[in-house]
Amino acid sequence: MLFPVFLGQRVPPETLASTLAELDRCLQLLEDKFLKDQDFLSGPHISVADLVAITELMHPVSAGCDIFKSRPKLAAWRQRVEAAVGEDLFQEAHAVIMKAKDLPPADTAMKERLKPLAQLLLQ
Amino acid sequence: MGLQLYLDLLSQPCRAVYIFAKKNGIPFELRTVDLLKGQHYSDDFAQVNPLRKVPALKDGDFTLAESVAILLYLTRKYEAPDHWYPQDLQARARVDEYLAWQHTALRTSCTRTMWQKMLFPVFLGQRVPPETLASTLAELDRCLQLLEDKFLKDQDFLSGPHISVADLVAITELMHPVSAGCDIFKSRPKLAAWRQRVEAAVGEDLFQEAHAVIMKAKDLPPADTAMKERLKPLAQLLLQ
Repeated sequence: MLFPVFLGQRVPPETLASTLAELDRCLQLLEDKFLKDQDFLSGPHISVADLVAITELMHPVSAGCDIFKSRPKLAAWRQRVEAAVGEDLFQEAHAVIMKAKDLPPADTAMKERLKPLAQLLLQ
Repeated sequence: MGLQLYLDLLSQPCRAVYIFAKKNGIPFELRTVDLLKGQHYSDDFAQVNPLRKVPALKDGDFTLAESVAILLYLTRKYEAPDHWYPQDLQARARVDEYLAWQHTALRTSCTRTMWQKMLFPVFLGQRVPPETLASTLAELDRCLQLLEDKFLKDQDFLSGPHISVADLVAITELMHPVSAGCDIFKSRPKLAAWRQRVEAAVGEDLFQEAHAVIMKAKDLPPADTAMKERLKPLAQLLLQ
């Protein structure tokens, strides 16, 4: 999202595909190794681990990747976490990232500043 | 069955766990997982750690992955002396801060340095473009500067006046590029002095013992075709 929309830079389809495959692999580990059949990542109650995980997953979601669509177990966990946090607070924390796709394109100064980070993230 | 630690001393975090357990007299059964032979991909090992990485811990029916989690579990269970993970709020926060930062900073650049400077040419017989190695060494240098300026500062150890798990994690990390022939301590007297203090606190014999495998890595026989195939995906990642 940020490369095409914000920096006006094309991302090779194979790069994106490789990244999405890696994301998928991590999500599978999240489900199988960490969440398993529990309500939350460390057991029956929400912990800081769930906060770190949910805020992480909202990143690709805000980029238009509906990662929860094909993963009902994670979707159910997400509902529990949002309920435990409280809907208002959850929306408030994610207001900025959910509007990232509406960011005006970066100007030249911003592009220059983000160049080294951008190179790193395109590998 | 007692505590089992699944380790390959080729790996930086495994060395930190090994040193910690030995130094604190924690009884454990060492289960060696040979990374170069791909033993971490076996089905048996996946039962211990589905993430297929070392170090891993098995304590009765309880299995645990991730070196930081393992170090802290051992600290708590065996009630290690306070300085390893101090009770003091801010001292502990400093240790936590280092442990969190190092994964994606120093760990990454030390692993890449080891592979690009030594394992690729010597073990895999693969050429590394000079500009790739130069870029990796520059990043390593940047991390070392942060280690000195942000974490060590004018203290004796990373979190203050006493050695903690942060120092173990850091020193085992830095021995990686050292064993690849990068004398990172030569131009950094502050870090060199800290290294001496850490080695003295750990004990020379235990320090040498933990690093015996990695210091001999440059004498590894070249990988056979099967090994090269197995290491291909990892190799691609480490050459970027």
